[in-house]
Amino acid sequence: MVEYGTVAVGALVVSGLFFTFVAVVGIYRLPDLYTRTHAASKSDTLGALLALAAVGVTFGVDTATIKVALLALFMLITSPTAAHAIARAAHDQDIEPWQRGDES
Amino acid sequence: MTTELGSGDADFGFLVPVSDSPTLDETVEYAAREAREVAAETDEHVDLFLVAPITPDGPPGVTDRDDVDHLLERAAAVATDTLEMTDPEGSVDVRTAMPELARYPPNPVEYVDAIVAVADEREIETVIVDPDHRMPVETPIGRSIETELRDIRGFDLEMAPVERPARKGRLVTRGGLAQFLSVAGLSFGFYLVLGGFGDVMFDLVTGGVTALLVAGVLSRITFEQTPQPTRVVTTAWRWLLYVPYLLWKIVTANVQIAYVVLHPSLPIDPTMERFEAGVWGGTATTTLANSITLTPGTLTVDVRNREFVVHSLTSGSREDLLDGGLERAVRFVFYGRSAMRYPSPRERLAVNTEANASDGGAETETGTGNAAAGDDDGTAGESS
Repeated sequence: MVEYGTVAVGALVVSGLFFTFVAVVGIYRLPDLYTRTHAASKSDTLGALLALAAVGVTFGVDTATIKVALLALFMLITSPTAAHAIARAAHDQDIEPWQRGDES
Repeated sequence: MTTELGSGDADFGFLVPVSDSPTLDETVEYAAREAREVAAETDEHVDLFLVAPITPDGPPGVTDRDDVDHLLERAAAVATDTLEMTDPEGSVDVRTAMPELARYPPNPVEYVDAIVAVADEREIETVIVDPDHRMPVETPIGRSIETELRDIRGFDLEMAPVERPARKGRLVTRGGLAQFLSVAGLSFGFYLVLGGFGDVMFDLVTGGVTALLVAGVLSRITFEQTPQPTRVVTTAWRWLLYVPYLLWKIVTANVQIAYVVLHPSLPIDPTMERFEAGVWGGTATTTLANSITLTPGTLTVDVRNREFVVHSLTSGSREDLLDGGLERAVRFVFYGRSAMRYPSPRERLAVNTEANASDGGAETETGTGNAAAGDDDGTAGESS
């Protein structure tokens, strides 16, 4: 049983790291603010969620797990809100999104 | 009390939008007295129209035919009583109308459209509005009915002088036991979860005190509507179904984005999409906007009333967005299973283009007419 738990935690942490890595690569490679916000907000969120899930599995059935679930919930609410705020601010400033063909 | 159409022989008319508000009776009394006064002064016949739109296809609720019929009957009775009590000079007819809205949930613009249609048909120019009038729709970032009628539709508008001052906005609602208990229960549960269960007695006592304090201070500003246990349970249950669906969407779409981002040639094709979302109400709109943002490849940039501006990273994510899976799920959470049968954004866009291609200006009271009216709004928004 313990081994299964360890394997699950390992898998969750590794996949969480993977998606966080994707977020970093995305911020580096993508061409403009909007597309970078995509990478920064979502891949990142999933990475954090997976890491939190790993924490939850580690604790097992415990009040700490409920707190972890609450943390995940707040991540799910705040992360898209922040991304929306950034993108909206850019949109209000009339920043044109990058399009195919604008290679620079 | 049924709709009486075509009674256009009156020279003056007053229109009162009717909703289930605490000041409805006072408003109707005021309108009746005004109508009587005008009738006596001008020696002309005056119609007093009480209007409340209904949604025939919607689930039982505030815009249900029976409820509205009942409400109008009550309002008409109040008006008739008032007319009998005031000086019986001048002829005033009390009439009621229940214009049908094409779909559920109605949006505020369609709701006002329906009222305006009744007014236009009888050439009524004066509207008397209950300061507490509640559109039976959850207005998103919407305008109030008086703004819509006076500033945008150009009606001669009077606010009924009612005893109770109008509530400004909906931030502070009337407190109530249900509100108080809900907030107290929530904060008590939250306190216990955070506090753990080390010393049970201590936690229960301090938790109880905290909960009472929190509820005392905040219960009046926490809810937009009085929480009803059955509704809370069904909505919570639907949320439980929605969250796994959303998580699944997040994971699958993230894998696609990971592929795109890590691909050597970076195959992205970002565009801005505009579409009219099929949801109304602050919470539903926020949920849909945030869900769209959470799903990789799409990012809600701006929301104006119902018009969403969404940035999409790849053509695949754009297809997903227009297929409207998320939107359908959000409709399910907030409006129930019956609301899932609703055209996807793609289908609505197709209807839009068709209606615009043909003559989209004709105003009819059928469902397609309302859809066409919606399109006009959409195109106006885009061109500005």
